[in-house]
Amino acid sequence: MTLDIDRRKGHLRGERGRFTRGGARYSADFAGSETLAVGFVRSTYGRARLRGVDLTRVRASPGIFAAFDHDDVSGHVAPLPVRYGPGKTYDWHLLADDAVSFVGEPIALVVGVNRGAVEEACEVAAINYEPLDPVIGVDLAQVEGAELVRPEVGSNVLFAAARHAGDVGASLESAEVIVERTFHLARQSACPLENRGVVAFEEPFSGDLVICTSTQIPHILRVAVATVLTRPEESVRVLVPDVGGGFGLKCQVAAEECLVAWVAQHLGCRAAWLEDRWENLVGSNHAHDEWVRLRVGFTTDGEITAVDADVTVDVGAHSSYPLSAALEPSSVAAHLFGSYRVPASHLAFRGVATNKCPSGAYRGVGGSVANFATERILDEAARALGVSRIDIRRRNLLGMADMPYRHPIGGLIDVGDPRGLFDRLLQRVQDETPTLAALDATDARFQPGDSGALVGVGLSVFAEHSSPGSAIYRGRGVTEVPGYDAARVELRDDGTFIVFVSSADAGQRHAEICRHQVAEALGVDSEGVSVVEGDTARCPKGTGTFASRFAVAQLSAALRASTRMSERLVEVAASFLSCDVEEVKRDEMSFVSGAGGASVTVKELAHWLYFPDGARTGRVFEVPVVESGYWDGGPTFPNCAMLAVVEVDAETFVSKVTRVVAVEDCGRVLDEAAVLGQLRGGIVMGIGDATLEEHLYSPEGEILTASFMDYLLPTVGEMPTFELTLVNDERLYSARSESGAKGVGEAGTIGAVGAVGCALASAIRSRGGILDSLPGTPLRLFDACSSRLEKGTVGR
Amino acid sequence: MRIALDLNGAQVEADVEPSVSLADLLRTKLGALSVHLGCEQGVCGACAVLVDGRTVRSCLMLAVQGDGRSVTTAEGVPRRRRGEWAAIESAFVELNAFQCGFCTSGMVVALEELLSREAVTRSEVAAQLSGQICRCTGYAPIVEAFERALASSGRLCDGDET
Ligand code: FES
Ligand code: FES
Repeated sequence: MTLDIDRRKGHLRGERGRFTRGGARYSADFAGSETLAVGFVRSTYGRARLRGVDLTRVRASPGIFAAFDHDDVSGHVAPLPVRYGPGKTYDWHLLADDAVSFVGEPIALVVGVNRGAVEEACEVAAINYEPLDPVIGVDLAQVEGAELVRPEVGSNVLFAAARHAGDVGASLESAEVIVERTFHLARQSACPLENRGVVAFEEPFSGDLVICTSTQIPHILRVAVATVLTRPEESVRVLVPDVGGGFGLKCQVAAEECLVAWVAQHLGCRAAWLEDRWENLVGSNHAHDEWVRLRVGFTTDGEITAVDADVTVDVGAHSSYPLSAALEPSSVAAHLFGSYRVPASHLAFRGVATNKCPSGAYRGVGGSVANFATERILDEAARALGVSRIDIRRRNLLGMADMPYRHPIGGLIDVGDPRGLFDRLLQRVQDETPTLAALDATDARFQPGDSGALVGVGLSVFAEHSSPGSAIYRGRGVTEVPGYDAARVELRDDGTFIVFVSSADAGQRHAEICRHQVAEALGVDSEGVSVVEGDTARCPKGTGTFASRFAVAQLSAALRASTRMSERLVEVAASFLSCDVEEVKRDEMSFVSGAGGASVTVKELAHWLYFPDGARTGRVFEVPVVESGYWDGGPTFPNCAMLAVVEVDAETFVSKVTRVVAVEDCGRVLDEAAVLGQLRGGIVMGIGDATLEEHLYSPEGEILTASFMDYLLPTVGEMPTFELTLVNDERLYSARSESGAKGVGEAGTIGAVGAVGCALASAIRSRGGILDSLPGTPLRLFDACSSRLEKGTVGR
Repeated sequence: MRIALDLNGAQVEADVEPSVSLADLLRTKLGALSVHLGCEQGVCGACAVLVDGRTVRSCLMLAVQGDGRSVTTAEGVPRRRRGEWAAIESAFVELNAFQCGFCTSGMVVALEELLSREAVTRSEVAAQLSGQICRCTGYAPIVEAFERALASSGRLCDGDET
């Protein structure tokens, strides 16, 4: 479970081939036959008072050892303080106290001999609910005198903020045209193929409480568990086994993770909760479900004069830990018009509580809807102004000469060339008359495809915010996220190196990439470097893996530690060779003294240091030889220009994304295969977001999408043709990243939501349809064409 | 009830409750941890195994229905493929046909069913994959790995694409 790579065969992460032979080990695989199963009795109401929880029949069920409700655990498990704004927290009771606020909320936990017994016992819990009218939808939540989802907060608006730059009123006033529309992206969830899973036990030698869990944030989880169990942090050890995908879902602390840890501590047993897909869809975090109202002023030739944005996010029934209800609204607000020049802006953004599953992160977070809204309104403006969709973008895109650019919405962008990427994107399609015609057409009326389908082409050019540092989190008032990542490099007595990192892998090949980067920095063979990740007892504290933190913060930290290690080795070599540090030269694996030409290898140095002969004179070097590094830079701004082509069946309105062309600047390309893998996977995920995926609730608060039969994920049939170009231009590397990488984890998803969304909109335009809401399911496309309502306005 | 089956070439016996799924039996009693549970709703294909040579979703099949049958999980595919396996494994690894790997056992089993045929067309590859969800890769490298594995053993044919 500790994650050395390569050097010890048979270890997790040992070699990639084991995945094909059934040799991967995910959290569920650590729940052996000695492990007790934990299950949860969950609310079947969206909003209700709990008049009584009777677990008598549960406890008497076959195979059940114990069952606990809120009152049973309250003396042992403290509530987790959950943030909903700067300086503001409320107590999150991990089992519902006297009320429930969404379908799926845990009310009681049941411990039994196996999962089957526990599931059956959960069925016979007698819960006395007093049903209350649920608050479903942000409009209902914000009416005067609305029922409160979180009475302890005192308002359904959990988080609200605003930012201004320049004189928006005057700039809009002087605009030739103002385009106003409201865009929406549905409630969605990350759906990693592996659900969550936790196995916990007290390790008998140390007494440590070990939590083996499918998480992206082991160090943050450790703090949360130590808090609710009031244990010293160092007595909690989080181990991350193979993780079957995270995509942001696993960077929230789950109530279940803390409670299973408590069961192991309290009963002195090995305990496991293995989430099933129903629980994952109804009770793990959702995302998106957001409205972006834009008013954008343009000159006659399409130059943006001002952006006025109002963002409302349905954050569900709870703020989340550690990223808080500020996450999604802040992210939407930060990403709008990210690669375009904006002279003045006004942003108001808020997160509103409703009786739905709480929101958390999902790959790209608010970037997806921000990108869709930005690009859609540019298309509408082009149409209103009678300019081409290409020209309106060229007129406003930031180029290399604009950098650094203090973006009134996105902050100080250090480096980037969105305009250059856009030109390269257009070069890729320059010989394709129909594609260019589609982009040039000012009224978006295109030739039907060969099949008679409605064909649409969409563009998106965007800048992401990757790997934010502590300043961003503190700015949002979030103190639970450290914001940095860290690494420690140790020279071992055999002359090999071991690197400990604070990140957590979910299939991105961290260990392999880190090993190669560190070996290169140290000037040694990568066979001599191993990487340990996903173990809070051995690895330095840090933030974890999300927002492309690995390529930026984590590798930068590892490279800093490696640079220090190199410098230290030169000092040791100088002492060994009895020469000055300046005289030491590097020759392949050896250090050579310039004066005498004597040389020593790293291996010999290690032996000299760790096995002293008792006769050493001169400077003393202590062992172990360890160097640390940390990185709190960022955010970096990777850029991408993307074009998507869709075909919409004119009868059934079923869409198919046929082609995605993208030019990506993620800074230095550390591993081309890994980068392309992130892009392709992200694009297909974004196609799902733009065409298929949507969580639905009934007005009674019941969730209607509790299985993969109702919540549709993209399959191989949704895969487009990929035409991907990586820029990898040194001039575009960021000084905010020692590794040179700017991050690529989210680009595919964000880009595809924008480009595919705009392509769908352009496809149905010929039928008079207006598409401002995603996903563009057949029903939604059909409705858009049937109602033909101009929901937005263009005016002066 | 006591059942007997052939698991990856070995004869095994187990006592099972009538309500237990084949997936649960394989994972919890027979140690076949390659069988992954992505949905237990019959949609994702992560739990795919071969039963008498045909892929089935082991989350939807009862363990007792496996009595007397021959079951192959991802653990058993390399042995069935013998000399061909090394090339298949390296196709998956070199092409990055997985990231998190949670879908990979099901993919390998789905591929094994195709490899037991004489000739396979590209559209049959797509049809076979249509029941297997991958959240990480965007599918392209998986399709490529399938086609490489089939082509290297001379099974991939152009066929009728309609
Ligand atoms: S777990 Fe069987 S199909 Fe998903
Ligand atoms: S590799 Fe993660 S689901 Fe396919």
